[in-house]
Amino acid sequence: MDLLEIFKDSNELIAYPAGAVIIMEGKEGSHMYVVIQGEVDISLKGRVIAKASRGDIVGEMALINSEIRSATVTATTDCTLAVIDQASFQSLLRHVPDFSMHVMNVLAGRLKLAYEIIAD
Amino acid sequence: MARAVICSEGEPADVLYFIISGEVELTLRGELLGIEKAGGIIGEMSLISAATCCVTSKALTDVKLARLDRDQLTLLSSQNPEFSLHVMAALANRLRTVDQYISARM
Repeated sequence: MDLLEIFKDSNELIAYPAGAVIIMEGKEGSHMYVVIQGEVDISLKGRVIAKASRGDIVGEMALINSEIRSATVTATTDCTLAVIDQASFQSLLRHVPDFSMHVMNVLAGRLKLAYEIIAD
Repeated sequence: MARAVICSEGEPADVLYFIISGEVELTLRGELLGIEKAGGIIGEMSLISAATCCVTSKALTDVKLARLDRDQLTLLSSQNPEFSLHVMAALANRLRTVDQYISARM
């Protein structure tokens, strides 16, 4: 699904310079983000486990069942992210039919990467 | 049936199962990753098209499972936000368990 189309004109856009830490593992958080422009790394204890770029989401775990961040997200280029809070998340679940399947697909994709790391 | 293998690593994953009752053991290359109980899900790679099972799930007790294929899942998730949140929470829990497993071995 094309989240860029939904969020490109959002008035909740934040710009981060390359190198900025957007999400810190172990800290509390209550937002997820859609990458509008640029690239970010998702890492666990300093090891990069995934990358995200235009149209991808990061930080979704904080809106599902815990506010403790499970991984660190760092800007690898200058980037712009759209912020989604709990209210917007609930609204997307209820009003954008493909959104739920999209988030489940992203989570399953992250699990697949994690399983592959263990299997290596 | 206890000890029955529900899904083996490398097999096509085309069905998502919800555990109604009983306990299911998850292993990867013979290593125990965790145990799923009632409310948990297995076969989550079915959420990715043309994927294969990444873990082996084996019944530890007699288990009762509800199965959903991709079409049923797409339909339910677009109509029922609470259902979607339940699946997302189960996936998020699994991801945390697996991330902890990885972190503990780094």
